[in-house]
Amino acid sequence: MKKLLSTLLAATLLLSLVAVPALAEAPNGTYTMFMRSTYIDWIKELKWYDEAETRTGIHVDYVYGPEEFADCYAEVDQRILSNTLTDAVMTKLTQTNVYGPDGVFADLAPYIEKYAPNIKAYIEENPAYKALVTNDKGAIYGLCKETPIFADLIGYRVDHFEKAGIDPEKVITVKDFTEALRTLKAYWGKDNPNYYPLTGRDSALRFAAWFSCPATISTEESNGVYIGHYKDGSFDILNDNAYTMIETMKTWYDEDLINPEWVAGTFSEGDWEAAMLNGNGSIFYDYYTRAQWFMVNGGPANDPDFKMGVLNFLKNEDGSVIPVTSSMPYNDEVVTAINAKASEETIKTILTFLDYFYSEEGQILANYGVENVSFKVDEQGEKVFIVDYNQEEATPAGEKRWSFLSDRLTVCKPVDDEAFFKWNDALIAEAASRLFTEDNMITAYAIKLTDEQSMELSNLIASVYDAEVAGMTAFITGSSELTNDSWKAFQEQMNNLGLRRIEEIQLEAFRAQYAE
Amino acid sequence: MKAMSSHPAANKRTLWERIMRDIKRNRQLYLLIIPGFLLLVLFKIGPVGAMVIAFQNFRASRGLWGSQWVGITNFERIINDPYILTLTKNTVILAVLSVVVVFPIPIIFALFLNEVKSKRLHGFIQSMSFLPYFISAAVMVSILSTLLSPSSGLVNNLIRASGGKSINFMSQPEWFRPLYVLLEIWQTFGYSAIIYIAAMTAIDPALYEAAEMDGANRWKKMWHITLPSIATSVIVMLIISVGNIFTVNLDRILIMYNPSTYSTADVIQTYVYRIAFQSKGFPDYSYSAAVNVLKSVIAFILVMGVNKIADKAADARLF
Amino acid sequence: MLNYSHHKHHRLSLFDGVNELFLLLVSLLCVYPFLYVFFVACSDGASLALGQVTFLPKGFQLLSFQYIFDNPRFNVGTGLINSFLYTLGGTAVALFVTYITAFVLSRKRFVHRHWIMRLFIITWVFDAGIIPQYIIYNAFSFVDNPLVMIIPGAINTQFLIIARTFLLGIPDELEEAAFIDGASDLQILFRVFLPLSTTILATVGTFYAVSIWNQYLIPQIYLKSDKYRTIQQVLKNVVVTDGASDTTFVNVTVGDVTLNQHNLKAAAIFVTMLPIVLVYPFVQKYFKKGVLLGSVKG
Repeated sequence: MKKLLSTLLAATLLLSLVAVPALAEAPNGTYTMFMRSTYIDWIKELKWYDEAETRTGIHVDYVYGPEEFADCYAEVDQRILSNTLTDAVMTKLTQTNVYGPDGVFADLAPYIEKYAPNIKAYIEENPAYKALVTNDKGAIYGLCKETPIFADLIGYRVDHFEKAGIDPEKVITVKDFTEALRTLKAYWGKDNPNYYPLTGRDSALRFAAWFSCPATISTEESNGVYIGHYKDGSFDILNDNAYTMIETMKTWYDEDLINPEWVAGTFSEGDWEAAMLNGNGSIFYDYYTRAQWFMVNGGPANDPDFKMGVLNFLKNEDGSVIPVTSSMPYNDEVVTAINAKASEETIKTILTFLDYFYSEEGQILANYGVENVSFKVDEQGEKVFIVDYNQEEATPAGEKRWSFLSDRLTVCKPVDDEAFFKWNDALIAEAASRLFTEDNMITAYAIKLTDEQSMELSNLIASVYDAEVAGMTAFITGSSELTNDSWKAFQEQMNNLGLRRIEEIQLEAFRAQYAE
Repeated sequence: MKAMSSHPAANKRTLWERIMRDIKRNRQLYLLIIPGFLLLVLFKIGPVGAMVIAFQNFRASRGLWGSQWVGITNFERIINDPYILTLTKNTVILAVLSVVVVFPIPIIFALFLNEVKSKRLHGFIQSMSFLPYFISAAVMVSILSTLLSPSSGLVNNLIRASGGKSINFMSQPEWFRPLYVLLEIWQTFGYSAIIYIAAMTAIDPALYEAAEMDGANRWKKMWHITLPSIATSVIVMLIISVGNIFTVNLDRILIMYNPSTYSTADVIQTYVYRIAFQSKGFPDYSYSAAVNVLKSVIAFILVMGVNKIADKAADARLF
Repeated sequence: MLNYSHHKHHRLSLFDGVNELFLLLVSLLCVYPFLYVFFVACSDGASLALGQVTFLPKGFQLLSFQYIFDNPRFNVGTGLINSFLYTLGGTAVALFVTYITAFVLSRKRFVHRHWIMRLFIITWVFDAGIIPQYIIYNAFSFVDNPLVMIIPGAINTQFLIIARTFLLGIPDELEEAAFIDGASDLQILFRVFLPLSTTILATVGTFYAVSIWNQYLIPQIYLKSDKYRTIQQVLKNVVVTDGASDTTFVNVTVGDVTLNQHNLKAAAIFVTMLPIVLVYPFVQKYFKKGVLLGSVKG
């Protein structure tokens, strides 16, 4: 008898072990999704995400992809080949455009009609988005996520300016900027041979917009290599102003106003950070959160006077604002697509989950969190965060936190720009609200390419773009002599390598998509 | 192997019968070769066969059999590319340097290490020499950058102390190749030397004693005893080196190169990497396969050439 | 000149002195990068960020290692165990298969040795690339299968060539003597050749072990489940920075010590390097002096 009881007990225990997880399974469905590992790690730490799964009753099993984007896309290809594609994947627009009609990804248009009213509304309200994700047959093979629109900001050492006697409000034009650099160099570079006022990392060719010669695109013209370089490393060497840009940068270089290692391309992120922290630089033009980063990662600890600020964008001589390059509203590198082999039930689950984030309730959750837990509504009806940005972001890896960094892919969803910039330290939040206006930023467009265009372009860009960078760098550092003739020769050389053809293809693709 | 008899009766044996006879006679050898042969057919010939995607417009969604055949279009793309000449020049120079400069170093190292009498010291030095092989490209280049830093690096400090001006080595195209080769030597000399050191352990000490009695000094012993004894290893390693001639340490180049050094640092492998994997567009596997085909054909011709020379000059052919 | 007794005494000639000194210097230079990684890992984060750590560490802490081992995000234990298993298993299988294949291909009586060798060489020189390889391996269900670390790589053509060359160098007389005694091929292999092959087995074994341990692409492409991951895979994402969206790594503070991304990356690198580096000195003792009677056929 005892034996029977104990066996029963053991069996019950065993059963309960099995049953409990089964009960804990999502009542409204579950699906698998392949994504970049970094993003998955972040999702797993988000408190608002857990809340979303609780509210929708849907659970997503994330499958780890590699860290590098290129490797992720390669893995998508591999999964297709080995038939191990997950229910949903993170892929890129070119892959969805090409593989969709081949039957790898599901055409979401009919399902969105049926199951995703919020997404449907969003598509209708955003014609540019519609043009991007819908192909000429009306099929939708992937959904791009929305990105907040931001630009790089000019971070500067407030204390350096003060001590050198520069009024940041008076730095208005590029000429003023150069003058400020000279003043800083004279003051701080006197006894410090390693001091260069303007510093940065990786590529130094990021000032084209200041000289009105960034890469641009419209239905009329395409200038410069736009694809892949609409924001960072954007320039148009065939523009007349490009010569002025190179001349000015050469002046900076010759007068030691800009870090020469940076111009040569040998200054890494670590080098730049060390330089700023050591006071060997005063100004940079980089990712918008960077000014704050230095404040929190060792600046004041090393030098009690260390203080960062954000300069206004520069203006033309006549006082008009010079718009700068900015991010694309829709990110075509992190597209959510669904496996064509998934059942209708699964597709419904996926779309229901995504649709939640397009609803008003979902948007508040993803951008602000839970009322009275992570944000509150103040007297003016404005939403204000009640959790501290710095504290939350400093949570050790692996632990849960509140975070609303919508530039990352967590889920394909719309972005609340206002919320996004509020979720920042005061320094950046202020700078964002002051500077990220429509006038200040050049609209960026995501361009769809056909298979042939893609192939031809990637070949051309691989040789032309780097050659442009190499050539311009040589002029700035002086290893090539800069004259009108040598510049013209350089432009010719780039055209021979294929620059004009690149512009042609880009224009063609842009027109096909946006000229209605 | 018996010479073919001209006796009519012997010739009447069919090929099949001759094979069966050979199997019977050497059945254990046939047995032993099975695992290796299977590996060869299944895992080595297969992938090489799949290189046919170079003649296709390969798409993962269509697979090997479904992708469109485009003949030599990809090859034309390569040859008509205006940039390809610069790239080829850089690639070839780097390849030649890898054989001419990098190859002899491990041999020289092994020769001198062999002269070390103390077993413990010998073992210690050999173990240490092996270490650089494990250091990743990222770490090595980072150390090199620190060493060569124009502002704070050791080398430039010395240059400035002797009155010169700092040189930003990592940004000078003319320094790229020497630095790349230096790192290559550094990271592989201990590893490659293992073969020669192992071969040297088989040299009969009596030979040295005999030479000592004849009054030979260290250099003579090295030249007349040690070196010839490892001649086979040297030739084999040379052929292997030639087979690998177009293999570059892609990681290292990708980390080392920057716009200022593209003129010497950009090689076909990095170019293909940019096209096939970094582009915004489509991962272009057919293109990189086509480049691989070209690279492999050239490398193979070179290997056959070296093999023939080794055969004629030293009777030491590989195949 | 009858002074050959000198060579028995350990008299330090000028040649020896200079040679040994030089080689020692080279060895120390070889160790240094390895130590440098360790120094970076245990330096104080703040000093690192300021670029103050060049040759020697500044500050000392082992917390960066603790962070890696304790962090719930990575499973260092699994990674290390997997890497060990793959390396041990893979090396054993590879040594066995390579050795017997090299043996057969070095026997003149095996009529097929030339064309088979040629095939090996062709398939080695013709570098197929990742996708063609994937197409084939997929057909053999190697995707997400730990055997992918052991079976396809069981013969590395370069190592096969080396082993075969070695076996070719063993004098024919030894084999003939065994034949006369009536030994079969298998008996010759195991009784005559194997005892003579400790050096080559140690050499090729080391090469295989190192190559399997350092494998990066194969695990990345084929090993998907967490439970199969190698230590390199586990530690690749130690520092989650995102160049693309530039949400940079915020320094970690453990106790009152600041750890930044350089500390952690270096600690991760060190942990992946250390085990295999420790193997080599153990293998060295198998590099015995030659057991052959005559010199190796040159």
